[in-house]
Amino acid sequence: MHHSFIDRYSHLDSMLHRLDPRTKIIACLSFVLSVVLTPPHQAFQFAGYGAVIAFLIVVSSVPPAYVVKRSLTVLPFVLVVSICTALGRNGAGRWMVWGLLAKAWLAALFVILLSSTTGFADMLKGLERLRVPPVFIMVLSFMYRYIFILGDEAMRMERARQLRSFGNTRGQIRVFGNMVGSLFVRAFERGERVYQSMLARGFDGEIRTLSPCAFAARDFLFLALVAVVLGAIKLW
Amino acid sequence: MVTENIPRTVIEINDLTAIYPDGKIALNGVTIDVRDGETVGIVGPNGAGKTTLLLHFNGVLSSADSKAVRVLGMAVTKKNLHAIRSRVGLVFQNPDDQLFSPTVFDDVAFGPLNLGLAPDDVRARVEGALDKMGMRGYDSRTPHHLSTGEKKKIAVATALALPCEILVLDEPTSNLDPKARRNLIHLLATLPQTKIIAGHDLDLVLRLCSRVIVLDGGAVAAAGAPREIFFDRKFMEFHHMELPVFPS
Repeated sequence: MHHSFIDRYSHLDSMLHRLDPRTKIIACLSFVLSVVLTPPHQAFQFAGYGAVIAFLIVVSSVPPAYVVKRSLTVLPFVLVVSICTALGRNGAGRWMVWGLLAKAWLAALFVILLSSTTGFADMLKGLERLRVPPVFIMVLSFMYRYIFILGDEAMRMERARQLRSFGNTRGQIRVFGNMVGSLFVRAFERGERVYQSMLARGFDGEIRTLSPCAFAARDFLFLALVAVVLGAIKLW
Repeated sequence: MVTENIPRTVIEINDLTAIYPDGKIALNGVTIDVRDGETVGIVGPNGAGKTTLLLHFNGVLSSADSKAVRVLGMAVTKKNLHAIRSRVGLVFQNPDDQLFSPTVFDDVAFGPLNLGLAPDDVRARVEGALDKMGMRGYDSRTPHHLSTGEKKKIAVATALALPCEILVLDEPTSNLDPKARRNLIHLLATLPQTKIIAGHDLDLVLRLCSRVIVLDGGAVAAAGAPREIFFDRKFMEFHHMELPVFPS
């Protein structure tokens, strides 16, 4: 299974890649928040955000097609939700659908750019320094570490099933249920062993880490720039 | 007067009994001791209780009988756990269980950080431990991207980053190709710690261990010099083990 699924292209080197993860997280959140708070009929503001994200994608040297393709996956979900909320609201409804779609898409672009320019480990360090509770960080880091191992395990089980099912489809739902169950048991047992290995190295429930992040001049500069750009778009 | 320099006993197991959660007996009256500086092998068929025994060495599992296990002169009680765990390094069989952090650095630093060491100290320990296992420069790598051989070496480094005096290894050479296996054996031979190595790699035990303990059905079947035990064909067959193909 592909292991760089989440933070593909995060190993590239560009101005955005070199920024402190905290800078990028704060900038991304500010953009997303500001996009969400834009009234749907302010087309110029949306164009402004579009220009900003297009500029950032070019600067980041992440392939634009990759970012766009990935961002499109949110649209079907948003479309369903926005149509449901807009039903029975005639004229206002159309604005609502457009607004929700534009906001969701722009927000997705910003977040995908963030995860494509920041390695997952750095992202966790950034979140941690921004005072996200350590338990959340730990859960996310375990997810990142084990999701592919678990995926591989599921793939091997599925292969073993196919090898011995000879195209027979009867009763396969039950087999599938058993597989999900045994995958759960395996994951649970792995959790036990991981916990034992943590205990063996002195884990006592308190999560301690070293965060090597450091703000540089470019981080302050970037954040200042973000503030100016956001202000300019809002006052347009 | 003759003064003999007998190394002190670092691990004393006295009539230890352990039961699996399903009620099966894992260890049945095991009594062994390990002396300072020794390298001891623990061998035996699958399900003999090897891993369960190892987990008692640094208190991951503990016996209800507080006198059953003494590590570095300390009883395994809640009060002593911290001291015991910092001085006994446990390396699990599956490196994917041992390495749970997003980067190699975080994983090797996990033990020292739990000891409450200062950041610079932690960094020095991580670097030293990686260096000892020939893994310098791997700090920022993700465990998922490493080969099994590399993962195994990093797993040993996570234990070496602690000020450990006893290194406990569960099947260190399982799943390794011959080159990675040889490399790991060489590295283990360079480590000065008291070592306890469990597994099915009898060749490794012959090379590194001065003493071997055969565990079968949760009890000690024999203990002694590897050569004497391994070349007793009848005994080995009885306990479902095979002689190494090329004894050196």
